[in-house]
Amino acid sequence: MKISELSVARLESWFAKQGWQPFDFQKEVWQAMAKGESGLLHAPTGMGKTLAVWLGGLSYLSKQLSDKGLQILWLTPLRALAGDTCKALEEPLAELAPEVYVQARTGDTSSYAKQKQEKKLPPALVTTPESLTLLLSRPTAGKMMSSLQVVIVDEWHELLGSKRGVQTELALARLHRFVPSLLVWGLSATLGNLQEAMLHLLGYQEDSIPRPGRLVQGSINKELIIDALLPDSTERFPWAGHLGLKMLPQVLAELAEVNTALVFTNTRSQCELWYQAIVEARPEWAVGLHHGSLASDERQAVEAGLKAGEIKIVVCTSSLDLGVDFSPVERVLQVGSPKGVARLLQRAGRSGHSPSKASRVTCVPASAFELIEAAAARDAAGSRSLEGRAPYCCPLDVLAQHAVSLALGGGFQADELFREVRCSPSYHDLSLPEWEWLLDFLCRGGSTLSAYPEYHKLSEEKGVYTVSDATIAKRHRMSIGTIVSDAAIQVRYMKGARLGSVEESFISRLRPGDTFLFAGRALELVRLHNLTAYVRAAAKSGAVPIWYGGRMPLSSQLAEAVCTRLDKAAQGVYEGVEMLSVKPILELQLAWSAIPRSDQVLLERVTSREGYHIFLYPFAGRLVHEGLAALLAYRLSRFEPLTFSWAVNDYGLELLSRKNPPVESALAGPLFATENLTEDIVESQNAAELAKNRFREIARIAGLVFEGYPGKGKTARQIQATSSLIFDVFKRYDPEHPLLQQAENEVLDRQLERSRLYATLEQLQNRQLLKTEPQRITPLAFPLLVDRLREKLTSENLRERLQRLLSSLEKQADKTVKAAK
Amino acid sequence: MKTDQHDVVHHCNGQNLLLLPERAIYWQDENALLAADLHLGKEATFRAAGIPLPEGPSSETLVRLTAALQRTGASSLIILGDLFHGDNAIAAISTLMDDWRRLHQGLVIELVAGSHDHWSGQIPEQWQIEVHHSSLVRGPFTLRHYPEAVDNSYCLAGHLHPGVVLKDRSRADAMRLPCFYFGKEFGVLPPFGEFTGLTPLSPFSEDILFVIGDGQVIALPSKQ
Repeated sequence: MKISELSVARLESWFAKQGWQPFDFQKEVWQAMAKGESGLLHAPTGMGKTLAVWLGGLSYLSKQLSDKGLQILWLTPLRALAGDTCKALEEPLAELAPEVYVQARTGDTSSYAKQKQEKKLPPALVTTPESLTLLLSRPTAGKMMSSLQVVIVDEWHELLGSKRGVQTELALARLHRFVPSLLVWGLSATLGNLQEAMLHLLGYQEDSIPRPGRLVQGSINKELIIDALLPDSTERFPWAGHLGLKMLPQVLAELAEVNTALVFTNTRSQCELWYQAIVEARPEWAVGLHHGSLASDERQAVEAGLKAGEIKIVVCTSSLDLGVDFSPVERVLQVGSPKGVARLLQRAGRSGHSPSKASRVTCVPASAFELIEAAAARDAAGSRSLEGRAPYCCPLDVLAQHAVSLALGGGFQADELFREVRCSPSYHDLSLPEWEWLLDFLCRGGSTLSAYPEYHKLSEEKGVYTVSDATIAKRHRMSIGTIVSDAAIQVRYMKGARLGSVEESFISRLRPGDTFLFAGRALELVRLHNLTAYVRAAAKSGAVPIWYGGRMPLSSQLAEAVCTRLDKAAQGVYEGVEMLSVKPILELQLAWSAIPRSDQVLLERVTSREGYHIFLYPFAGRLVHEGLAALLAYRLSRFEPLTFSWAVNDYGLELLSRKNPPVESALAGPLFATENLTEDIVESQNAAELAKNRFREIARIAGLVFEGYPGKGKTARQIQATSSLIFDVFKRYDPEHPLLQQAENEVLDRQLERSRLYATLEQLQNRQLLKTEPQRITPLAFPLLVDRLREKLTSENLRERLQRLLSSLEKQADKTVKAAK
Repeated sequence: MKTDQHDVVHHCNGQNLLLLPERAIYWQDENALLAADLHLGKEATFRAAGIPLPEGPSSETLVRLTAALQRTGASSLIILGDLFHGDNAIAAISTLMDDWRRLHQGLVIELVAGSHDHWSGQIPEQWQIEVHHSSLVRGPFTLRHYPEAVDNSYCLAGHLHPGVVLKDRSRADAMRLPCFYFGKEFGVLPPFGEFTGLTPLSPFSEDILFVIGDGQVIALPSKQ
């Protein structure tokens, strides 16, 4: 295959023939790629990013001499989209590069097709990070990849900040080793940390200098509209609310006007409820439901229906955030808080999905305060104040997996691989002792252990590390990847059709005969067997599963914009329809308590029949407030024995106690201190339990447990253990184990957002504390008070806990016995 | 023997069974200690499969076994299956086991073989363990690895690794504890081994359950 010369001028004339005019950013990418530059292109969806890098890549290839084997690799995070991507890439080939053909290689590709590919790879391959790593674990990887010239990573913003992103970085470092002149381009939505995103994509050279790259911004002159549906009257509008079905009439009116629309919701429960409500109100409409717990064929049917124009409205969650340029819709609605600015922009991009049309997203507030968020999101989008994605730093589990993959892929030399992985920005700070521990862990089982004769995952000969045991090799290849599925219960009809999966914690609360709402249907639980819930259709009504995953916190950027709006309201300035709409409620807040200015933090103390309430509003997002509530409860209870329960939301937290807590003396002391923060967090949280949950993913990635290993043979049965059992064994017999420490750090950094918590404490120290003692619960406090998900800090020891749990069981037993009589 | 305030006596088929927080049963009339599912050498089996686990659970299991034997003064030990875990297990712990056996020279050890015992290979003669293949009838009891209803006898078994999850009504707190199970047809011992998981049973049923927590054996309320 030799592509005939494909100059930038020829690309432009091809564009003209289609009746298009290339954008400046497309020409910039073509010229940069023609010169052999790498880079990152960021633009909203539907702006022609794909054509920019794809044609640029082809043009670059046409100037190269080599013409055999794999030339260009296209990485996509979603294997379901690989087929669509292939089609989109094939379109211009007939005219511009008829020699080139595209194939997909993912977990869905048949093993026959894969074998054929291994004999002769296509010039262009579309694949996922997992399938790429699998290719790199072939002994012939170096030969297969030696002809590669261009790698394009699609939806890099989705991978960055995840362990799949780390895996991609490591694979890219390996590809750079095979092909030092490799061109790498990423496509990304607009993020708050684009420079960092590009660094993590391109990596470092061996001399620790970042590889040069060009950051190209797609045109942003596309018009963007963020607005909100307003309630008829704010007097009857709820102060708190999760579901916001109050706005159903307005939503139906908007949807009646258009042919196609997406209704985004924040949680899967919200998604089910809105779907149900819309279908009941308008049975004649074609409505689809799309969320991450549904079986993939259910989801694909909805996607296809939307594409074919058979479905008018899809009610969905973030499961539809990703996707190649699939058909644009006329309207996008966002039910509930938008949570983040970048995400809202991404969703807006789903409407008017072409460069010339305006993008519009309409917020549907579930409570009065979400009206403020809509206005704030518009402000933040206008000032380009967007969220970033924080990359991981040196996760040992992913590195352990990668090292075994490379040992399979022809073996590695320790110092060479150490230099190579340090070219990945996620491991740039990896220390030599950490690396040596990892090698020990893989070769001998870990540094704290004496030599185990029976342990031989990696073996070393003349400085080259390989895997010699065929069973270990096979098992490793089957578990490459970093996606860990939840401990989910399959939902299935008695007749056999699969509907999707729900969390075990939800289904364990139901008894046979109970009904629940799932996949848009009312279902009756028949029985639970082998991790499967067998169901049948039920008469209407039933509980909605509450999925605890995916409860995103309000981003710092959006929170800051909300504070700015409140600052203006505190001065009596209400701008825009949303703020005017919420004005009566904010005026009540002002009359009963106060509205904090930007340099203030509001603390309300209220006494009720329940006890003493402290409401504090740092506006730092629910994750930080969770950590902060536990921390403050812990620090207050050190002054005198107290029991607190608490509730949190994105704006603040409530602490409730039976006795009057010593707030004044605590404030004079170290209540908000940043000293001993980590120790106090660990003391105040059930840190061990959190780390155990986190360890599930780490154990799976590092190869300590196997999920879905199909062998039913005796070895497979002998090495079955849950990650929590393994966690307990490590905790007891090797408590300093670095993988345990990784779990603890991930809890602190990712779950409790330690750095944001630190920053919040600093703000609490530096800002003026505005203390009020309102006579009743204020509008800001009300949503916290009605939140039913309360946590408790207890100073009970094991024995007291056990006694309490037992007496709770006794009470339940008494009740059942009485009921039986 | 020295009984302990933490033990519980359970009357079963005319016999007094002492349920010990060490996760074993002391059968007074026979002066025998019953234990199930020790899974010795399990960590070695994992390591052989490329999963690096630390040393410790097996020796800890044996230490607890010694403690239970010494406290009760039992003259015989009957293992209800899964004494060793699997591939490599016997080889990996042979030194440990040699030492332990020397410590309990007079002790009679009988094993009713279970699923894992068929995998773990030949048991060395010097350990003097008498192996019974599927069941052992002793007095009013049939001792097995797999629990099963037996005519004219009550079955005591292992294999299931019974446990209970205690929750409070708000579900804010939960504990997972090993338990003894006594149903109409058979009784099941908790797994004795350190490195063993639990299968949760419903904490409130027709059956009789005793949980082990905080070093005590505690009867759970029952529907009976």
